[in-house]
Amino acid sequence: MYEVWLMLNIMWELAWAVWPWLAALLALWMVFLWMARGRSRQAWRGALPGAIVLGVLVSVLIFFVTPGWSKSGLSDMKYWVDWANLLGIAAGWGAGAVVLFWPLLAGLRARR
Amino acid sequence: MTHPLDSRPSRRALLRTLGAVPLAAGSLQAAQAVQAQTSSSRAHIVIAGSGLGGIAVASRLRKLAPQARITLVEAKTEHNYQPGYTLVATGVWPIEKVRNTNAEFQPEGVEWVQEMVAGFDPDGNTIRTASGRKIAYDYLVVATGLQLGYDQIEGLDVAAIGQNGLGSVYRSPEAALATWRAMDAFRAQGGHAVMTLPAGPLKCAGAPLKMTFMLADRLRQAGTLERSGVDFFSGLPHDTVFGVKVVNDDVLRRWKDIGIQTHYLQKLAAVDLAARKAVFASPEGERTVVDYDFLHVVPPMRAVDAVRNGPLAAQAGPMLGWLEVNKDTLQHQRYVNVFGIGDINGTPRGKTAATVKKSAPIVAHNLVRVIEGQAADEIFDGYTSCPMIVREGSAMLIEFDYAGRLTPSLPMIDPMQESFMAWFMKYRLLKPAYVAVLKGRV
Repeated sequence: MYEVWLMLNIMWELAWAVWPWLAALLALWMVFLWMARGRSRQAWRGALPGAIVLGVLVSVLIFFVTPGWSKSGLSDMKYWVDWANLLGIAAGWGAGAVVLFWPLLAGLRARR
Repeated sequence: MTHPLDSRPSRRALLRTLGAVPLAAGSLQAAQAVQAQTSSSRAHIVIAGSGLGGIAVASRLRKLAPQARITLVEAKTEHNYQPGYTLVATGVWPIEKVRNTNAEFQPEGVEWVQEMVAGFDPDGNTIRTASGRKIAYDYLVVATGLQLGYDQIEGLDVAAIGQNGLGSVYRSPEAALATWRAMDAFRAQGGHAVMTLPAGPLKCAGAPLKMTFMLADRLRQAGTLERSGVDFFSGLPHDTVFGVKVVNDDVLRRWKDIGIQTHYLQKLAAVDLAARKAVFASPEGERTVVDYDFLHVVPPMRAVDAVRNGPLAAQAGPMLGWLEVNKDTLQHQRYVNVFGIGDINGTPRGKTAATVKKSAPIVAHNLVRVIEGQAADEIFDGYTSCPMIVREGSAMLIEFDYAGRLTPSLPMIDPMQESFMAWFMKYRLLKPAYVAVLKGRV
């Protein structure tokens, strides 16, 4: 439990350090939600596969970029914990991308 | 007929789930805090020093004893993230990442006396500042840190760090940056590097080893490792560079693979900076002069004079001169209203930020127990942690206790396995964790 609380606090401090960017992303997301207002369930469902594809692309990008972005490299992945953590980081960013882009794609679908 | 997609969560359900995250976080914090002692006392608590230990304890005491008067005594306005110095000194981080201000971290409702502590009078329950001011207290937390003994090395001029191949990671952010410049200049040409390690207590005992690993890696990156020699002079007994045997042996094995030569029972006694000569002394007094192109100096360390020369220090034994605390409760052995935190403590191990992370809640809790007329009951196991950088991009996450037992925080972590994740923690995650410790949250 302590380690979970510690990680939450680390993420909070990391987020706080880049809060203007996060605020801009949140504002963008609100715009996307507003664009998608009134869209039918069908529109939302139809937009999800595309959002997932974008999420996967972001995950792949983050997977390859993160080690080098941290002055390390894929050759420094030495055991399963490294791969699990890197995959977890990539998956987290991918999930965030799905949440961000889903309303955008839903909003771009024609009203029915 | 229901559509298969109808079983997926709706937007409203998703938003409800996201809204539950703060509640979950709050319950985790509540679960952690449920055992913490609280007090409605209006006692005056003085905290000497506002490094990580002082501010972390102040933050916790502010919550546990909201009516107490808390005074931090510290002359420095700058707050330095010392665990980041090795990253600055080896060219990984910019200097800005280790520089903050005390003002941004000191908790609200805490008085700050911007002076250095010059002495302690625990019989009179007062401290004396550098200007001669006396501050009375009901309870005292000593968090002064330690002092670096560069003056014990004949001929060493700390202002010359960064020049003529001289480096030393410990002194300051500027010295760490200057060390990198000296290392960078050295690695371009290669040559003879001399790394040192004194006997005696050190803060971050892994730092001299990390510097050595990174120096070798920087030489390798520059293509000059083959034509360079790296010699490590340890003031410790034979085959000893670190206090945990399994880690020590692993480090020596890695160094042997890289070609780093080791020498033991060699204390850096003097330096001729202009001639680039280092003089090492054996316990028998025999002196050896070593030429170098790059010298990394690790100074001997001791308790600050205000503690060392006063009644709070241990008067005998292996912790002579250090704050005489009970290693389990961190309460002073003779003055029950005095506690210690951080590097000043005369404990068998642990002069690291990780030690403060684990011991700050214990000190705050135990102090409040004493305020309430009860005995200190939380026990500290001596936890300390050392992300042992083995090269740029890889480290080992080593955690251990007073007994030198490896104590990984998570069962899946192999402390002796070099990994990206340990490096990533050091590079990205440990400073945010440090800030959370300052704020009294972890």
